[in-house]
Parts: sequence; structure tokens; C-alpha cells
Amino acid sequence: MNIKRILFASLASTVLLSAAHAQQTWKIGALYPLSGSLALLGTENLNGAKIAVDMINEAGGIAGNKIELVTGDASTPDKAQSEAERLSSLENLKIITGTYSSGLSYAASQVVERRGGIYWETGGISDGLTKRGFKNYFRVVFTASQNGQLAADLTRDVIAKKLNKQPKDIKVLVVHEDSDYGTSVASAAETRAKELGFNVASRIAYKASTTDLSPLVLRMKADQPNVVIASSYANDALLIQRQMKQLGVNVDAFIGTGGIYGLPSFGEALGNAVNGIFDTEGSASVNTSALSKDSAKLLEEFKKRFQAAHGKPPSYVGTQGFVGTHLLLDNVLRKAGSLDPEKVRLAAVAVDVPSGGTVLGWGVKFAGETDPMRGQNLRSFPVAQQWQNGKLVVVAPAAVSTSDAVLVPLPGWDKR
Amino acid sequence: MLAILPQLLVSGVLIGGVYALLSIGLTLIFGVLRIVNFAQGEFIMLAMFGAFWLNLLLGIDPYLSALVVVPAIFLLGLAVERWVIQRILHAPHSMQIFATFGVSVLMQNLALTLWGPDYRSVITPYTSLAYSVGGLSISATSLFAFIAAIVMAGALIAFLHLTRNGRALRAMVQNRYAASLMGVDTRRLNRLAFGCGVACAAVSGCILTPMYYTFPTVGVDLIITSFVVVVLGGLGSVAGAIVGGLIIGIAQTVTGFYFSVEFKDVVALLLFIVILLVRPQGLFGRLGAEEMGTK
Repeated sequence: MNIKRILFASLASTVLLSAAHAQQTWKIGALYPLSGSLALLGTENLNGAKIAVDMINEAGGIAGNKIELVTGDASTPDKAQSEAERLSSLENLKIITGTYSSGLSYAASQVVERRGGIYWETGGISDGLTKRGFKNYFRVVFTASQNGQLAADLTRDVIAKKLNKQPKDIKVLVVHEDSDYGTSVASAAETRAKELGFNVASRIAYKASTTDLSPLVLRMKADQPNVVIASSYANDALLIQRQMKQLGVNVDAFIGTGGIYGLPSFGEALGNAVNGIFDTEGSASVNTSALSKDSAKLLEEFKKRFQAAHGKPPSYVGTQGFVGTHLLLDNVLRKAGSLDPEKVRLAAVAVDVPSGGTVLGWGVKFAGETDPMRGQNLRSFPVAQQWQNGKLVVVAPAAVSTSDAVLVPLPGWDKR
Repeated sequence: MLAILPQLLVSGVLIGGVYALLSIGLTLIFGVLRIVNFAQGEFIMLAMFGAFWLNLLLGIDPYLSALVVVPAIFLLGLAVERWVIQRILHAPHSMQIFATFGVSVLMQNLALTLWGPDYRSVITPYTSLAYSVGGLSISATSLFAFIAAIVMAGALIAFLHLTRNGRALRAMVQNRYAASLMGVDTRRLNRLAFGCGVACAAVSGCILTPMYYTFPTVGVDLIITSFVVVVLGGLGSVAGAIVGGLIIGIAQTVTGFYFSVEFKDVVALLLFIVILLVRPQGLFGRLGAEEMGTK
């Protein structure tokens, strides 16, 4: 940062601070796992949310009010529940956003719904979250089922074509960590793959905390699948790849369903061997031609700010925090003009953003009260990315892709 | 399906070596101090961060970094013994659990504050290397871990039997009171044993850095099986940690393949229960070890 920029920044913050004194403050609860084993992505999600708040505040806030996030550390479901209690009763907050992880969202939103507050989910993807018929629960992101189905669709649309094979001649093996996340994504992938006529060898669950996956990799060796679809947490993803290499197991295509597979640390740990691996989740690198003009501008601004604040480009998880929070502030609270839960709920139900209207390419329309998925954003969708030259690029669906898939079938381990 | 059995056994022995490596320090600390150190995993985590940073900043190989990391963790262990462990040696079990668990939470969050929650990794030329012997694949990193476990156990057993301090430690384990009457400085030896126990954790941390991600809560995942291994092998028995590690490793790998990957831990635990029914003191343990020498 040069002197000019520092001067400008301090000047700007002085102006903002003095302006803030004249303003009222609207407080919004933000529940994320900030310590414990989910801290990495919880913090990332919150970092995205904070940038949305900063941008709104710098543009004058909402109805003359400055927005402030009151954070709670929801590191476990128990803590999510007690922090939700604290924010809604002690802090008296009516709007709470969060939570990155589905398990935490279940626990926290229960409390908030009972107390009549709005729960605004920007990260948890378990289908069940919006199957509870909650009146005040809204989820901006896509569901686990959608993500799993995309893995199977990708196999049909991209991988089968590249391999020049019929679905029945392609053997698919689904492996997943056995929490709610991995299980729901993987079973959706399995079901869809069967519907599409693939030869699904089996679905194998394992514990994410395991220190060894050689039995799993040897099962792969015995089954000899063409395609592996995997939902993993962290070390398990690394173990699968490294033990595949060590035990000489190769496949035509490997699809990870989000989480670690889309993080820079995955690429760093594998080096060149990461190239060719697919990852299904959202992406901050969708083709900007699929975005509205405003969204494209917003995305660029968001990326710039994230890079400046954290020294790295935003991951998908950071971006979803930004999208969800920006939507809440700019589209919902601005329209409601108040923090009254009923007014906010009505404003949320009325939101109607066409596809391409958010920086992830999604539109926004929440399922109504007669819908079995009440509160779910019906216009969000995952995309398929692939590691190419150490970076993730979007390869499907065609409307938002920036590159073609390569390295199908995957080269042998000695040639990666 | 049977054709793959030799490979399963090899993989089981290798991961068993990793378990043994992780368990030796834990069993040493229990053997001497009669305290279950719930912060053992966090000492491993700190060592992994040490190896990671030395590699990132100075380009030092993680195995080589043990020369710096292990003495540093040893000193940290002395400090923890001085300020925490010594004060709870004669406290009720629940208090001992809370104290060491407290140290674990403190260290996890310290790491989180200092280095953030990112998953870090060290790439070395041998990270994903495997040796092929007669059609069997042997992971280089696991093999090194296995060798390290054997060497560490051998060194520890030699220390306990051949040196003056080692003999004093064993005397103390048999009867703390009598040993102190014979002029054994039990306070100093407690500290030494705790330092050595966490130094073993540090060795395993450096050895495992090329295999796993390094992050603040990695110790929890790594150490969990060790508690089983230590009890199975016999509380306080170094040789038991090796044999216990191998049994659990082989049981998990074989049942994981033929029965269920998800329930491989369950099968290992069932085996554990059966062995304890037959030998409640563990394979190499002595009856009543948990009470011995404390009175």
C-alpha cells in the first residue's frame, strides 16, 4: 500500500466514522464456527459476509442506518444453540444469519424460529433444513441433492462423451464421509447416476477423521471404476489421492463434491497431481457473460476487496457468504425498511431476481409456504469446476462455463 | 478378493506403525505419572506446525526439522509439567482430566489465533512415493513412520533399562514412596518423563507432517486411536504400544476392506473389548497398573 492510499483510506474512514455517529445502527446476528474443526470455512464464510456489510455501509447504509454484524462462535451444534439463544434474547436480535455447516444451522435456527426471528442461511446445504416448514427460515444456497445430482450429470454430459462410452459401460463408485453432508450429497449422486443408467458399483461411507483409507482405496482397486464421486472433509480427501497413487489405483475421472476439493490447500497439497480433478459446488469464477451488468461489477469489487483484506482470492464459501448477506441487506432489508421480522419475511418472499442477478450467477426466488421446500431459493445451482494448471475453472453447465474439460481420461500417476 | 490380502496386511502393518508412533509418548507419560495426557494430540499438532514453518520459511526437510522441533517441544513439556501437571498429580481423576483437556483446548486455540484455521501441507519428493516389492506397494512415508516407531521404542526401552535415570524411573513406577526414600528425586523424574513423553509426540508430529494436513485440530483426529492402542497394549508398556498399534492397524485394514470401511473402527473396538475381557490389564500390562505406585 503506498502513502497516497493510506492517506486516502484514513481520510475515508474518518469521514465514515463521523458520518456513522449521526446514524442509527442496525444489528444483525452472524453465527459461524470460528473455532474448532470447522473454523476454516466458517471464518471464510463470515469474511465474505463482512465485505457485503462494508460495501453497504460505505454506500450510506440502509434507510440511514449503519449495519453491524454481531458475531457468535457456533463451533458445535450445542454452541450454535446457546449462541443463537444469546443473540436472540440477550442481544435481542431479530435477524440472524449463518451458519456454513448444516448441523449447526439445524441447531441454531430451531431457537431463532421459536423466538420469532428470521434465520438467513448462506451456507448449509442439507436438504432437510428447508423441509421443516419453518416460517422464517430462508436459504440462499443450493441443496446437497442438487450438488450430488450435478456430479452424476457431469459424468453424463462431459465425461461419458470424452470417454466415448455409453452410461451402462461406465462404472461409477461413490465414496463419502459419513456425516449428514457427505451422506446426503453422495446418496443424491448415487440415485441420479442410477437413473442415468450408469453402472453404479457401490457407495462406500467412511469416517472423515480417519488416519488411513487404504481399505477404501483397495476396494477401488478391486472394483476398477471409471469414475469416482467423492464427498470428503479434509485429510480424508488428501489420503484418498495419495493412497491411490501409492497403491497404483487410477480412474478415468475423479469428481469431488465441494468443500476441500475447491480449496487452494487441496491444490497446494497435491501439486501437479491435482490437475484434472473435478469439483462440484458454486464458483466465484463463473463466466461473467452469464451475469447481469451490476452483478459482474459487484463480483469484481468483491474479489478486489477480498484479495486486499485477506491476501488471497475468495473461495466459493467466502463468496456464498457475500452473496447471501448482500442479498439480505440490499434486496430484503432495504425493501422492508425495518428489522421487524414480519416485514422482513414479506420482503424476502417478494424477492424476484432473475438468473445472473447475483455474483454466483444465481437468481433468487424463495419457495412459498405450500412448497415442501419452504424457504429454499429455487434459482440457485451448483456448477462443475476442474483443476487445470493448478487453478479451478468452470467447465459446466455450458451457460456459465469458461473452459472445456480436459484430462479425461486422467493420465497415469507417473505422467501427472 | 483373497488375492488382495497380502497388500491389506502390508497396509495394516504400516498404519499400525503410525499408531504405535503416536502412542509411545502417551503410554510413557501414563506409565510414570499415572496421568492420561489429553493434550498429547496438541503437542503433535504443535510439532507439525513447527515442521511446516521450518519447511516453508527455511526449506528444511520435515524429518530433519525434528532436530529443532523435538528439543523445543521437550522444553515446552517441562514447562507444562511445572505449571500444570505437577499440581494435579495427586488430585482426583476428574480434575486431572479437566486439567490436561484444558491444556489441549488452550493449545488448539492458541494455534488457531497464531496461524489461522488453514489446512497446510508440506510437499517433499517422498510425499506420495511408494516402493514396490513383489507386487506389493509400500508407502514410503508410512514405512518411515514404522521405522521411527521401532527406533523410538527401542531407544526408550534401552533408556529405561540401561541408564541411571531410566532405572530410577522404573523404580519409581514400582513404588514411588520407596523410591523417594532411596534418594530418587521423583519430582525431577516426573518432569523428565513428561518432557520425554511429549518429545515422542513431537517426533511423531515431524514424521507425519508429509502425510497429513497440518491444522489446529489435527491432533484430535490423530490421537484418538492411540488411547485404544495404549490400553490394548497395556498402560505404560512401550512394547505394548507397538504390538497394540499393529493389531489395531491390521484389524482395521482387513475388516475395512472385507466388511465395511465405515465400521472399521467398530471392528477394531470389538476386538479390543474381547482382548480386555481375556486380559483386563492389556497385552503387556500389569494388573492394577493404574493405581500402582501412586500411593
